[in-house]
Order: sequence, then C-alpha cells, then structure tokens
Amino acid sequence: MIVLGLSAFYHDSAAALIRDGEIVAAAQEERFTRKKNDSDLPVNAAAYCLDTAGISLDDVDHIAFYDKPLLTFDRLLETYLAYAPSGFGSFAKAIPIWVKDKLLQKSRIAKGLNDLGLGSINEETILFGYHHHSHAAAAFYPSPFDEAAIVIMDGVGEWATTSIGFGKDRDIRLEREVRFPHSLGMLYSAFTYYLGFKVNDGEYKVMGLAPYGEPVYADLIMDKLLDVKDDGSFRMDMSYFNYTTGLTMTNDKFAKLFGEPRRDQADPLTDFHMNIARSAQAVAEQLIMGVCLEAHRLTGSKNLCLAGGVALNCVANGLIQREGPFENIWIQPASGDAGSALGIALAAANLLGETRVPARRNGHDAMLGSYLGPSYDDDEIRAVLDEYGAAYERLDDDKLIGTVADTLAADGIVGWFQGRMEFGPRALGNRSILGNPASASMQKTLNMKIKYRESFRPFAPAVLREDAAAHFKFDGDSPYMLIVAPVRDEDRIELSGEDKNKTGLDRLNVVRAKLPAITHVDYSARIQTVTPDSNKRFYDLISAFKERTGNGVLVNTSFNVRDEPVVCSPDDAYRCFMATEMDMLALGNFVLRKDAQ
Amino acid sequence: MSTQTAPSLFSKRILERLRAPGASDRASLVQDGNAFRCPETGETFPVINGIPSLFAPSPGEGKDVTDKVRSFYEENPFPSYEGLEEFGELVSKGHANSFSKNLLDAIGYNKTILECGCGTGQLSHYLQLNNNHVLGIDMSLASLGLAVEHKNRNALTRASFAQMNIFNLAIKDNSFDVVISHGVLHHTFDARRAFAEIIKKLKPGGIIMVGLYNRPARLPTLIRSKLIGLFGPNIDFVVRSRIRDKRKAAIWIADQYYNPHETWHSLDEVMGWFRENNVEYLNASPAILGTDGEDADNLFAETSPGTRYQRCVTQLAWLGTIAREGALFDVIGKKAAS
Repeated sequence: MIVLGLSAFYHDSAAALIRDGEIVAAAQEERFTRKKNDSDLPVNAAAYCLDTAGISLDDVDHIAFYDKPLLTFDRLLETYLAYAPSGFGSFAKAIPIWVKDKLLQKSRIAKGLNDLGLGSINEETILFGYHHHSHAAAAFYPSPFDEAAIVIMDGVGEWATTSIGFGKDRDIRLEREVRFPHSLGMLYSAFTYYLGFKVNDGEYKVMGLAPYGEPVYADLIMDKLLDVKDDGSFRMDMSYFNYTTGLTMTNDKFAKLFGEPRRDQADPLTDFHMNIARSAQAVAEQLIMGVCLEAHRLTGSKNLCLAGGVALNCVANGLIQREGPFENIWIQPASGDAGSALGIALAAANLLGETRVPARRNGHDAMLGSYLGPSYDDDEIRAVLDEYGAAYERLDDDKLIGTVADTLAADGIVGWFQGRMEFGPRALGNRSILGNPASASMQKTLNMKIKYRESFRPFAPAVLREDAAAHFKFDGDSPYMLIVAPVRDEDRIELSGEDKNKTGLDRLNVVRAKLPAITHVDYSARIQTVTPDSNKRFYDLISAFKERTGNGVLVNTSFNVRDEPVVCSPDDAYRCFMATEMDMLALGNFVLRKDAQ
Repeated sequence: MSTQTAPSLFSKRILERLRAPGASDRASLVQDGNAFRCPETGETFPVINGIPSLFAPSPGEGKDVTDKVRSFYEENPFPSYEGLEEFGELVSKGHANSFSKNLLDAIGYNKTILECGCGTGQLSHYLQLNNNHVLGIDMSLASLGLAVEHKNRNALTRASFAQMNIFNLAIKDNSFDVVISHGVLHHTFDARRAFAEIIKKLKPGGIIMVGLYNRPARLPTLIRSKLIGLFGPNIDFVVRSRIRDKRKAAIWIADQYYNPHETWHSLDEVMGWFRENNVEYLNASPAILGTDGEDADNLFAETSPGTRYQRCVTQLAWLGTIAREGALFDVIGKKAAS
C-alpha cells in the first residue's frame, strides 16, 4: 500500500510517502520554493516523494490530508459568533477566503497534484484526518515504544490545542483535550508577538532570550492570564488577548498589565524583555509539566511521545526528561505542522493495513534519523560547481574527513552538505554549518557573519554519544537535538568579580565555559547525540575532530542564513557559502575553500 | 578564519589595482610602515586616522566646488550607521532592500568592485558578500572614518577604503569588474567629466552603474528646499515614513536640502555619456516604461532603452514616484570589449 500524506494551507506545508509500511520520503515545501514557512499546496515536495519512490500518482493508493477543513471552518465560525460583535470586521474579511480555500480543498488538492503531470488521482480518494490525530500518529507510530502516553500541544488545529492520548500497537485514543481559544501555543506566541518577534517563527528567540532574564512576571501571568486546574487543564482570560477576534495577538490591556507597550522589532532588547521571556518560558514549563503529569496519571504508561509545535520547546523537553514522571520520552523531530503530513500518512496506513507500521528495528525508532529528504550524486554536484566556475577538488572519504577536521580544529567554519536532507526544523549533520565549540569568538562570528542574526542566539552541540556524559549532565539519546541539558560543573568557568555583576546581553561576551560557543548563559546546551548508526559520516568527522582537539563535540547549526529556509540543493548550498564568511564548503566529497575562489 | 587583529587597509586583490595619481599602471603602490609609496615617483601618501589618503588635486578648474562639497561632507558624513553597528544587521537590512539585493545578485561572485563616492560605506560593505572585493573611495575623511570603524569592529577583510579625488584617481586603468557611483557625480563640478574618469577604471566588458538626480523629478525637492525652513523636516516623505532615528533624519535633510552643489541629469544625457565612452546601454532603475526593462529579472539584463518619447514619459512619471525619495535614478551599461 502506498500513501501520500500532505499538510498545507496553514503554515509549514509538507509531503510524506509511505510504501509497504516504510517511510520512503518526507520534506517541507519551503526547501524547494525557498519561501520560508511556505504554506501552499506542497506540489514540489510531493513530486520529490514520488520521484524518490520511483512511482507516479497513478500508483498511489491514498492521499491523506492532515486536518478536517469543515471542523476548522466550524471553529472560525463559532469563535466569531461567541465573541460577536467585536470580531465582525475580521470575520467578514476572513470568511470569503476560508470558504474559497478551505471548503474547496478537496478539488484544490486534486487539481494541484494532477497539474504536476505525474499521473493523476481521483479527488474522491482523498482522506482527511483530525489535526491532533495527525500529530499523535507522527508522535507514536515511528517511536520505539509498543505503548505510550501521547501528549500533543500546539497553537490550534481544528478545536483542540492540547490533547492527551494513549497509543498501543495500531490504536491511538485521544482522551482529553483543551479547546481553542485556550492554548499554550497561542499563549507562547502572544509573548513572542509582544516581544516584537514574528509569530510562528520567533518562538525560538523567546526561548533563547529567556536565560538572560529572571522570571519576575511568572506569578503575574499565572494570576491574571491563566486559570490552571488540578488536572493540568487550563483556561486563559481572553480579555487580554486579541487573536480570536482581531488580527493581533495581544491588546492594550495585556501591555498595561506588564507596564510597557509591545516592542517594535527595531527597538533594542532590554532587561524588561528578557524578564518577560524568562517568565513566559517558566509558565510554559509549568503548564507542560502539569499536562504530562495528568497524562501519566491517566495512562499509567512509563513511556511518553510528544508532538505539536510546543514539543519543539526543548528546554521544557529537558525538564520533562529529568524531572517528569516518565521513564522514556520520544519526540517527533518534525513535531510542527510539517510533521503531520507524515503523521496522517502513517495514520491512514495503520488504519487501512493489518500490522503496525513502520516496523521498528532493535528498539530504535523508525524515523531513519529523519534523513528523509533529497540527496544529490557526484555528477549533479559537479555540474552545479562547473556552472558557477567554482574552484574545487574531489577527495576520497578519509581525505575529506581529515581535511574538514583540520579546518575545524583551526577555528574555520565549514558548510557540511551530505546525503539526504533532514525532515523537520533541525539540521542533524547533513545540511549543517559546523564550527569549533572551544573558540571564544565562534558564537559571535557565527551569528554576525554567517547567520546574520541577533548576537544572543545560542548554538547547539553535536556530540559523540559515548562522550555526552563527559561534557553534559546527560547520558541518553537525543538524536534529534530536542533536549536541553546542563553543562557539567567541571566545564564551567568561575566568573571573576567584574564579570559576575554583568546583566542582560553584557553577559554574552563573558567566557563562561570550556566550550563557550555551545554553552548558553544559564550553562545549558541543546544536545544532539551522534552514533555510527544514526549518521556514520558525521560520526567519523566528529571523531576526527576529537583526535585533533580532544573534544568529541562540534557546533552544529542549520545551513542557512536568517529568514531563509535551510538549503536543499547543491545550488542553494553554493550560494549560501558564497554569501557568508564560511571558510570551507564540503558538498559530498567535493571541497571548496573560500580563499581559493 | 576568525581573527582579533584589525584587518589590513587594502585586500591583496585591491592593492594590486592601485597606483599613485598620475603614475603609470606599471607602478603598484607599496605599503611602507604607516604610509604608501609609489616606487616610480617616490611620492608617499599618509594614512590619516586609519584611512589611506591618496588624494591629489584635480588638474584644471573646479577646485572651489570640490572644496565646498568636501567640507560639507566632512561635517555631514552620509548616510551614517545608526542602528547598523553590527555587520549582521547591515546585511539583513541590505537583503531586505530590493535595490541593494538585486544589485548584489546581479554582480555575482568573486568580482572586484569600485564604488566612487562611497560615503560612510554601507553599500561597499554589503557588496563584499559573495566573496567580492570592494574599494570604496570618497573625499570625506569623516565619512570614510565611519566606514573603516565598521570594517575594523567587524573584522571585515574584503572591503577597503581610501580618500581620493574622483578627477585624479589613484587606480590603474581597466582594472575593476564593476564600477558604481550611486548619487555622487551630481555633486561634482563636472559630472560628465567625472563619468569619463571613472569609466577608465572599468575593465573592457565590465559593468558600470551610475545613479544621478533626475531632471525633472528633482524639481519637487528644490521646491521643498525653499519651504523646509518654514515647515520643518516633516515635509520630506523619507523623514515622515522611513527614518526612525533623529540624527539620521538630520543627516538626510542636510544631504537633500542643504547640499552646496548639485546638478540634474536626464536619461538621454547619460546615454550620450555612454556613447562618448564606448558603453553599451543595458538597463535603468527604475525601468523605462513600456520597455522589456519593466520585466527584467536581473538588474544587469540587456534591455531596450525605448524611444525618446518613452523616456520622456518615464521621467515625467518619476515626478509621482521617486521624486519624494530624492529623485535618484540609475543607468547600467557595459563597457565595450577592446
């Protein structure tokens, strides 16, 4: 059986293909169109999936779409009626768009795919799933567990914003839910908006900014904005928010509560903003923990699967792993809406098939390391480089690893483009920019001359699995870089008098650890553990770097610049390399040095 | 690799393109401690406040205009750096601006670029992306000081700056892939002669982009300049809608309304300069109405210059568009292969 799963029309559209119980391919549309968070029908991603499987649309048994358009419409309608008349302005504006786009989705999907010229589908064969079922399926089916509690938290799907469920073999039951407008995702996005960052995109920045502040407003948020019940469910005081009826997230009452107007994106970040970020993060952690405790109580399972946009809050994930009630947790690496394309395809395959798919191998998950995107062979890479007139050499594997490791050990910055592209927001060693974590200037250089973004943004380490405990208070698997753990006490540097008294962003330039580039101001790090099983070539590279420097750790950040999607093709990679101050680019076995161009 | 020491004054690819004003192209400048020396003439040029001063007076007339404009920009470095202290912010802003982004994309990779009249150097700094090497020259040491400060603070290696006289350049002939002069020649005593000077520095087959105040689109600015004393800076569109910073607004107002010398130029006039100097017309920005320039996907694309009538209508239309933002238009051409 072949199932093509799609997510689209809200944000982060994607396609995924399942054949005979195996995940064959999955990718986000933005990587092909180069439009960040592209939400159009993912025709390019779908074409890529078909191409990888070597099939046409005629061979596809089912197309599965990740949410139910009528339910979403119903939410919009009911929300506006419940909050009438204040929302009539934006309601009147939104209705024609939704009628056109959402209600006619079936024919739109069929037409879009059939226009590809890769065979055809009948629109009556398109299946629609529930949004949170799609997330739950993406969280549970590829996990290494036979049974597990499932927690889904995001902004909003159709109605549900938080769901608790239980998965066993092929069955997933969703048992509890919190409904719109009460939403942890929306609450976090409201603070993202209030801090002057872009909603659905700047949430990482709030999380990255939080450690610079103190949670001085956490009690205020708990008192005024939220009503949290003993069972972990919560309601929000909607008089502070504007997203149900208007086009902004928060209102004047919200700004008055905290005493400052919304920050304009061009305004400097002050202690106030850092304290707000820290407070929002603290409240989010408390709510997430409450929901997880309830999930444990309801299911009695020792395993937890997480998905939904909120599951990308890796600080909270680390907390659940260290202090939560579960023995094991597994997080879907593409836990945002893009991942639900995979989820709904798996849901359909499990519903219509006879055994649970995908099959797990020796207790590993079935995500194939999330390396589910396109790859390019030597001929394709060479053609692109010749087209640009680039100066390059082709090295065999050993020479390649040695050359790149030498450059990294000398504090050079390397674009590392290998094999299949990752599915989900993280670069896991196939579309990565790498650097030496021991260099004191690395964080600043990477932010200001490679990524062109705010200097406070932290970087994450990729560490040899067996060396994780030598650097961090962590000795487990985190193959998808979704868990934050503390840096070991021995690796911290005691601050001297003057540095100790620094506050806010001034702390950025203080060397506070043995590996400063990957140690955040609160001595935490977002860890990716690497094994020969998960990514042999990347493992070999980190090992070669360790031989030269003693540290089996590299800075690993996604191969892109600010506001652009991660690179997909060799052409994207060459242009990104040239547009930044990277010193070297490794495209498969081809190596380019900036100073030789 | 990252480095903590100040980057050198000129990158190698730029230094090998320099010579003393008036010297032959065979004699490259040599750095001699904190000065540059011409092995041919024996002349030395000082480095003043971190800026190599390769300035020599122009042969002939025009000294009074040159002196006036120079002292104006010493007092009003333009466009200044408010809010762009870090290179990453400058790059983000350049990417967000369609003019600079299109220019960078059209230039491509690994090129040498000469910017004549770089002011405080933002565009020069931005264009060093894509592994390009840029030389920004200007008369104003105050403006260049800010350019060099940004360079040193961010350890940038491929943008270099020097003080020069546009009528007596310390640059070898036929040496740069791209020559840009964006909003500068109209502040010289003879824009046409300045154009002839800078075009000498362009390689055969290289690209020239020249931006000038337009006649007639500059007329509303002239009218506003008579009224601004009465009504204040808010009669300017850019100050009202774009500039947030007070100091930056004051600098924009000084540059636009209190400049000691400016001339206005038309599309046909620039095309005349192109013919005199063996330059083939490629494109204009904004595009000439009714031509394929309106749909060009590349700023340096080869497009039709249109008819005299189309150019006339285009410039009248500019009264309603670019007139409120300084009435600057750019014409792009290609120097004939020799």
